[in-house]
Amino acid sequence: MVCVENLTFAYDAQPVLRNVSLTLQKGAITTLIGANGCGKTTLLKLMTKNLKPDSGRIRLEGTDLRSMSLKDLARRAAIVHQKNTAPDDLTVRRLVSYGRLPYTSPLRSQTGKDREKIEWALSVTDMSELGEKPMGTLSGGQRQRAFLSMALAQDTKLLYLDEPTTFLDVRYQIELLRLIRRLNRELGLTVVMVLHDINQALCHSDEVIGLKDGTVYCQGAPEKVIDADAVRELYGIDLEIRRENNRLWVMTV
Amino acid sequence: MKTTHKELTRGVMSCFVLAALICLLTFAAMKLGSISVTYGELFRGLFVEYDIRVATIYDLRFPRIIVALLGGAALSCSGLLFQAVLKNPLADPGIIGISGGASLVTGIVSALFPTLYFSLPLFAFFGGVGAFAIIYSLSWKGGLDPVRIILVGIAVGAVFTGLGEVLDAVSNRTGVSMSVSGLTQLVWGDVSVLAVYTAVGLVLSLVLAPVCNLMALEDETVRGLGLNIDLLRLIVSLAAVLLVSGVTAVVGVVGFLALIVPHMARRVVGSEHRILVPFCILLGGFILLLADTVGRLIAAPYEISAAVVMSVVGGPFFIILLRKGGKHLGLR
Repeated sequence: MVCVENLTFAYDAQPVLRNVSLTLQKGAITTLIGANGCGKTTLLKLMTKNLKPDSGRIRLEGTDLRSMSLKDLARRAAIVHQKNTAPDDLTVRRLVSYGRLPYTSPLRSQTGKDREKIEWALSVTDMSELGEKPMGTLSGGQRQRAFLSMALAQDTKLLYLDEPTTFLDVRYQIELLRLIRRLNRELGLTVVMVLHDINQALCHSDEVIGLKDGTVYCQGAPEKVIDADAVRELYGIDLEIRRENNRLWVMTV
Repeated sequence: MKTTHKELTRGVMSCFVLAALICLLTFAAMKLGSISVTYGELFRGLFVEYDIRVATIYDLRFPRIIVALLGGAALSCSGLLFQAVLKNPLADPGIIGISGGASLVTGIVSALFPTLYFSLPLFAFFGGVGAFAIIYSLSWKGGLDPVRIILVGIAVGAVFTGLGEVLDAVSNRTGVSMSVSGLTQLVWGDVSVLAVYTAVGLVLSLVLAPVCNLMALEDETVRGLGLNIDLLRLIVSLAAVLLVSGVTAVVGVVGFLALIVPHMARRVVGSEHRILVPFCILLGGFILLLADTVGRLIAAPYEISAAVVMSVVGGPFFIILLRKGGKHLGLR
């Protein structure tokens, strides 16, 4: 789905990514993990054309991102950012309708198909009943679902999520991750996300990519590539790891 | 869709009410002043037979009323656009130095080439764009920090104002001056100059209203929707600079209006720019004309300039707004 080839990027003189090459599987949930400053979010920004690589390239379904317009990209990949703002009096439905912008323009009105997609995106994220609610009245979990709904309205095969659970309490975190799981299973959506919580990453991913100092340390199914050594290398701390019923837990407390 | 529809209807109604108020105020402003006439005399003097008093009103008071309406509309609208593109509720072309840049270039050009009177707004536009470019590039550090924009803007604006005063002192002329911001001594020529630039700017703003809505989201979110946010921001900013430039070249610097009117408008009609832009345009015209008319009458035969009225009344009013609705304004 996404091919990253020899990607290098630096903020001013500070190198963030060094010669990163990786392939993201179609139809899978892939999670980028690693310590703060290892380049996860930067990689995501490069893949969504929010930053330009110094060298190397990224290909999305064979097409080089550099030769792809922002609009083209927005029709193929949607992203939910960590930090989201919206005016308090904007209704959820209006926000979700922005997800149709890649197919129309801010100055043109929507067609019947756009409205269909908007209603669909609202119902999938269980937001239909909240459609007329102003954003300012929503809880944190509902807010994040509204932005996810906007991304789904873009009708893409690929969804990027940058630390989608960071500002949520544990119940909303779990609900959101389950929702993402469901979208992946039922709609065949390819999901690429950054997660801080290592256990959530292990539990909800088909593949994890561990980044360390701007290079790929490991990539593969979590139960295969994550062990005590990997955790020490990635996060710089010794933690006990338990395996039960073919599942993996990192003892973070 | 229902609520959205209802809100649109409410917004359109608010605009109509405001338009009606503007008509009333305009009629009052035509009649009131140092030369007092009845509406009957005014009508006869304009359309039936020559009347020296009505002719004076036509030559002096009418241009002033129209310039107040146009100038108020343009300034308020530009304030709204700046607040949108800079994601900053405190953005005001006066505070961030755009008016200062426009005014300085206007001053230089009118001192050196007095014959270029009708293209003054064009030069003011270049001055405004220059100021905006300086402020924007100095404030950019991988992103726009709202506080940094204000601080840089104040500094840049102070430099422009200082240079303008130097220019005033050196050229020792009357006419367009940085420090005088008033609506006195306006003629019909001023109206036509201002009308052209303002019309272009206002039409642009109305067209760009949906884009302003998107500016309220994070830049990265908008980019993720396939839009070139940097280009859109540039276009909206240029429209805002154009609006300020026309007013600055003709009227001078009027403070507070561009800051306060968008806030008032938002409290009435919300943050949907398709309603907010037209409402802001109407409200701006109304308030500047009100300020000017009150200033003309309150201490007659002396006149208090509209800018002074705006500052004296607008300052406390703005503080009340801030205290009542900090969250609403996006302040924390």
